[in-house]
Amino acid sequence: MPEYFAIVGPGDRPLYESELGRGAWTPEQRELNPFVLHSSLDVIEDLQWQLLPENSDTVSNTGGGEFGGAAQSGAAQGGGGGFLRSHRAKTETDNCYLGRVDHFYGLAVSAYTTYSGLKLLMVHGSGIVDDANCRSFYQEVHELYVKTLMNPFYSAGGSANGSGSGTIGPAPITSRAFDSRVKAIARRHLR
Amino acid sequence: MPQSRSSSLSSSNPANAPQVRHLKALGDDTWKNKVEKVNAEFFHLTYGTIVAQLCEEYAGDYARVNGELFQIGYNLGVRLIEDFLARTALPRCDTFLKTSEVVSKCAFKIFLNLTPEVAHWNAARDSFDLVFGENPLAEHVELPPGASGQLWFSNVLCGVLRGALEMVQLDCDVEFVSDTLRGDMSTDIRVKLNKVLRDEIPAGED
Amino acid sequence: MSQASVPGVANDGTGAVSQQRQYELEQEAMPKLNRTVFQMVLNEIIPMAYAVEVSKTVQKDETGEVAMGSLSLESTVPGDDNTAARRMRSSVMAVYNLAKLAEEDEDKYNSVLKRIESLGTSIGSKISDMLIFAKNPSISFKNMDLLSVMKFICRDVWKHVFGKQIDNLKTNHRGTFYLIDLDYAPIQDFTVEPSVLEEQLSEEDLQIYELKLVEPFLQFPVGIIKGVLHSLGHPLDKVVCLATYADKPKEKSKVGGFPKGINFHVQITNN
Repeated sequence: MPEYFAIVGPGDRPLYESELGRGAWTPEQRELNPFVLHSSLDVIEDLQWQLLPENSDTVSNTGGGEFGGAAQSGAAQGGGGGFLRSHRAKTETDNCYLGRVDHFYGLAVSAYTTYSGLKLLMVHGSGIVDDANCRSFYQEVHELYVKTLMNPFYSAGGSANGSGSGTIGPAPITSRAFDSRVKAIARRHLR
Repeated sequence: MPQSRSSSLSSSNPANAPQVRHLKALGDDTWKNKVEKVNAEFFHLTYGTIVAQLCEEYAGDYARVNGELFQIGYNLGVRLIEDFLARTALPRCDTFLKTSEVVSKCAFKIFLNLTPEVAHWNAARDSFDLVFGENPLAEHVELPPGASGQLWFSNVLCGVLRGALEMVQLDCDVEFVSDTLRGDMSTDIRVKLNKVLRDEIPAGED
Repeated sequence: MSQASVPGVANDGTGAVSQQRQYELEQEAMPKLNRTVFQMVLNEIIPMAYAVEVSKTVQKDETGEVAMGSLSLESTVPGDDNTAARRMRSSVMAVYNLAKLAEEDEDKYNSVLKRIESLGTSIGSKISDMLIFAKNPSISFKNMDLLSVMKFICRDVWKHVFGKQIDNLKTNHRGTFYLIDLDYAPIQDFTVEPSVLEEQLSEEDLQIYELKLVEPFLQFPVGIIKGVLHSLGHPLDKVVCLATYADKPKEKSKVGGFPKGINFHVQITNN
């Protein structure tokens, strides 16, 4: 079954999209896909800031006992609460994969987020999310993104050379190499 | 002296094999034991960001970007040579051939942990190429469309060599002749000796 | 104002230790190069930023818009690429000229500082993703609070970029942080060469002058801090970061090192 995959940056700016998997979307569905993904962004936002129970009492700090709680998170972007972490997360470092986050008339949406505010999402035509394969797919694409950052001509934002306000996030990924590698990763992990 | 017309220097150069081995061992040992190291990817990221910013500042005038990168390298080279001589305590090279081996087996090894191949000696034996497989500073780099064929991404290396060799009285032209980033088979830097700056040796040395 | 220590590896259980060991092994296996080269390139950013300013001014000058003013690269012939590439511009002179520029043309001086900072910002906003993806088990943002992000800067970012951690992190819990590096690595070898100065300075004036010379170098780590914060959800216009000199405790001042520590004052506003 076909999949529709997209990377969305901070401020919900689309950075990359492509159709993966086998089979083709119907023309109607193809037009609908971006909207399905977009409507899932809110769900992810909610999940992202959901405090994990075991995190609430283990703020590590030595000295300054009043740290951690209200005073700090108030200053953090987003206000009250913790930063994501799926209940499927196995370890502290495997906590970006959110699994199935939404569904829409027989379609399923899965997602993966990064600390830098990137959201990776996929509409699954089959309506089924195979967690093991999906997690591998997302992790490899994430790794690919980190390699893309090594390309000095790709801007991750934050460059304020007089032009622009300097608050814009990562640029859209237009590299053809990136595109073909994403498709290769998909062939390995998605059916 | 570097005009290397000596008969012992045939092209296959067997007489020099032990010397080359010694230089390689010296480079390897210095790299392994006397050098504080940093992940190469941070260096590549930093250097690449400098290149990208220059491309933006000079709005695609890549000749100027190349010149600026060369200048950065030159500034580095004139100082790196001091560090190099202090670490290796190598004496003055008596032939340009030896210079080429020191550059490849010791200098590149100690500073960048690379050993480019020395190749393409000309008949006059005053010019050789340093051959790298991939462009050594450009892993993951994708040039913007207009830059291909104009920008020498790693031109800083030419500046470093030019500056460092000048400090040991070797006036050389150093330039890229090919680059895998441009679709060439290998990345080659040509080093051509113009003259030995004997007159500028300060009194009291040598 | 309370102190938050910057802890090393948290040895909380054997599992964590072996994970840490695994990470260290992976780090060791990564391609390396000489830190001296890296540091020299970092420092070369400052003369480069000045050279670009000169180059742009010269360009405008040719079209008759702006006067050359005090900017100079010592007997350069602009335009001719070959000459430009070969010109013997010493980066040291650029640093001295930059200090002169600070007094003579504030706008141009600030433009150079901005250029240095923006390089740091670009690098900083990429480096956090690279470090986090390396899966260092001791990196943890827990609730994604500012303090843990600051600790990440003090410990992981500083260690990788500058070879040492920040010595001291202080906060008031309301978005104000002080990151104090007593021996900011890139400037440790800096001293003024009195011989290049036009006039003789007293010992005291010499030190003031030296601090002025070094000031532009601090704009790079400022950019790094802002870039990392930017990539972790704190936009550039919500963050103020200033670097000032800090006195070293007596027992910490090494012979030959730079006489002052650096205090990075970071202020993050909410909205």
